[in-house]
Amino acid sequence: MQKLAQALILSAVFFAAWSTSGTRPISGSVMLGISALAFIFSILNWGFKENSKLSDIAKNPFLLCGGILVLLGIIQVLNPHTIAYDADGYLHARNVKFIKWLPSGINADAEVYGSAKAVAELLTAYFFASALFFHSKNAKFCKFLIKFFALNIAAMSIFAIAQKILNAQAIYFFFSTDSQFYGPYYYSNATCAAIFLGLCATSASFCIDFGASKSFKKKALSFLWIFPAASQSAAIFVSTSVGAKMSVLIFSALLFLLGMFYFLKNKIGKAKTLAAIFAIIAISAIPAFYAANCRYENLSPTKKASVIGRAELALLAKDVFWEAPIFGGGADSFGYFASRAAGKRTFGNKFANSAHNSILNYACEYGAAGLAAIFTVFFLWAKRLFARRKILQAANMACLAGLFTSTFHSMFDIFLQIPSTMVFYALIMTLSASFLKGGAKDGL
Amino acid sequence: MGFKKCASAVFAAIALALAAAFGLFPFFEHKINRDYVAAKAALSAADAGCLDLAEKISSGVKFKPFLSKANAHIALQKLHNDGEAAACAFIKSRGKNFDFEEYAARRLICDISSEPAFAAGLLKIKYEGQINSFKNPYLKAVLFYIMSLKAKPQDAPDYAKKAFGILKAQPKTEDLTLTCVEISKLALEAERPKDFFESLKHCPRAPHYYDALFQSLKHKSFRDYIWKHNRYDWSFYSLETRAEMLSNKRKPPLEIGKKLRYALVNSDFNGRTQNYALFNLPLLADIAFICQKEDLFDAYKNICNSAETLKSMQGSKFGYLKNAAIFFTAANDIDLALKLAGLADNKHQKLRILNSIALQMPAEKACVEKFFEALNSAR
Repeated sequence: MQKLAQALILSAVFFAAWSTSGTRPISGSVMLGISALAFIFSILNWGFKENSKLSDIAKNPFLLCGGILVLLGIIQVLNPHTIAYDADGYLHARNVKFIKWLPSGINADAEVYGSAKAVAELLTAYFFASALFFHSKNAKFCKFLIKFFALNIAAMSIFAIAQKILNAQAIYFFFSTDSQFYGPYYYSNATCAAIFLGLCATSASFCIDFGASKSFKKKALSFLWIFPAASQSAAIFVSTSVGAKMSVLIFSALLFLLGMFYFLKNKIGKAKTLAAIFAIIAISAIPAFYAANCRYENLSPTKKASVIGRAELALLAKDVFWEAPIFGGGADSFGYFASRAAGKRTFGNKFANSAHNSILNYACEYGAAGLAAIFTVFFLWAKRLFARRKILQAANMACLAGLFTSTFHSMFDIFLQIPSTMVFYALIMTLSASFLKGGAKDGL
Repeated sequence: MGFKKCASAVFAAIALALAAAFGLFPFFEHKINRDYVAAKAALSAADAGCLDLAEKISSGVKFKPFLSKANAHIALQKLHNDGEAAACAFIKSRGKNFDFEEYAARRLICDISSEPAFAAGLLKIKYEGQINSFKNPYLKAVLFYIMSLKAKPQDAPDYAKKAFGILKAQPKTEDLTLTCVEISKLALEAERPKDFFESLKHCPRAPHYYDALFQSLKHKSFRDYIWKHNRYDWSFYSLETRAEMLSNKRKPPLEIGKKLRYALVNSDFNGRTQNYALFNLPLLADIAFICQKEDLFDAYKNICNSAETLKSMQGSKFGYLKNAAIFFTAANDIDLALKLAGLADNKHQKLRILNSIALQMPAEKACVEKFFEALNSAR
């Protein structure tokens, strides 16, 4: 059963990489089905295994607190406050009667922004993350998974570059579409967010291979990971995603500082190393600020409008949050509330389906209750990370740096509402606190 | 079985149930969108006098806002055809799904419409109090505009001003769009280009705006008005493009030839491909339709019937089919329009094309019946 669960987790990663991001009905349903099966076999494996403990459930950071968020979403689906529809190319919304003291959401068909679709996407990430954490002590599997993920994303990057060069808009050069495609995903920002997480996995894979052997030949072979990293970086830098480009720069800086810390700490001591790192950060902050400012001035009017629009959306999110502060306005409800709050303050007066800031967006859609559940997930994850601090490897630190950068990026983008990137984010989050040295172990 | 085993089995069962419910949800019937189109079309059926059909459709629809409105229109038709008693019986049978204000307003519209023209003083005494008693601002706007059509020339602008003032004050919702379209149709029938454009100015939805404008281009007086007034030169372009032009980011081209080329590059037909050569003929056919050139009409028809051409449309196939369906509906070729809707890649796109057809469809029994047949096949 364990092998089957692991195979399903690998399949979920494969489908997340290649099945058009899961935002459309068919690909989304396939991803949800595979993640759910991975979860079912993982939890049955835990339940029917002799040496597993009941406390493992509480130790899994995603299972119970993530479950609360999912439960909130399900109640929102069952108790809609708005009915939304679109049969003329525009979204319309009308209020309906609902139970006011319960969480409530948006009732809509699958093609329209509605709570059922958003909860289905959330469930995909929830099942995947909960399932994966059950295998986080199995270093052999985790190492294989991280490399599998890195190579899939490298292939995806090459495909994205080829698509860009050939200017082929059809999905996989075959299915026609009027959406903006970059690689196998609909939006270049989503593709690049996924590729960035893949780049973190590539860095971690290099760390695993480099640290695994003392022989020069094997160490040299680990440098082969430069090729996937190069394709991933190239795919990000030829794209239009400013956020992903910034993420690569921040991630590189973090890796450099991390490498410096490991290199210098034994030579000059921890305190002096940390002081040196802080000095570098302080000195580089001023030129970095001026470089960023100069870069902003040189941006095209569209990009500038995008930056300003995000700031406006953040302000708008405050008004949206206060519409339903406890349980939120419902999954995928941001656009409807934003239109009501200040229709003209969004991007070019168009429907903005997200606050373009994950925390604000989840706060608006799931309220303080949902936000509390999310923060508890992060708290439990941090607790596991702290408990395992002595076994953490350089690969874990690479994942952690990537997670930190990706979280920062999510403050300006919507990729933590897209199933594929949610799955990858959960993967990097779990692997940052997983065993990445040694063989297979059970339990949490 | 131990507690741990039970707990894992319970978790697994819940996961399976949730995955089945949410995973299969997209494959269920497109009920809300379909109900929306059906309820709107039931409204058209009632207005076309197809009461049996309208009743049949409305009894299967759960979308309340339009259903209540459709029922009000059916009751009004019953009132005209069978008298007060039949209408009352129908209203009673609909229960809560009946829009009484819509019914009263539509009755009033019929009454005002049947008044002789230029009866200003009489209109004011008889109807103004009643109009002001309505709570629904959209109905009020339509009623005031109807009054302007019946009033003396010197009073008409005041009533029209009242109607447009109400439109201006409303939030940019679907109700406002539909009211703007209704008033623009009234202005079109009354051949009042100024009122037509004034009402469309408040229309928040580009496709409705574009469709209404397209209809107006069939009338010479409207074409002349457009070409005479520079500010309407941009009407060929989408609302977004016009907004961009107004903000001086892009200058509108000056010559007619350049205008057409500009329209080709920026119109919905070519999407982002910028390869306007592929879409040249459909747009020319649209222009030809305006100019009443039958040969280009046939050329357009041939394109729509060519599977090879549709295949080469790539991602713009849906937009092309929709525009072509609108074009043929407006040209009274409902069979071809419905056939084009049937060529859509999925049910949602088919519904969107059917919705566009419903907006343009003539209120004739044969058309409405064919439309419902197509709508039922979209389930």
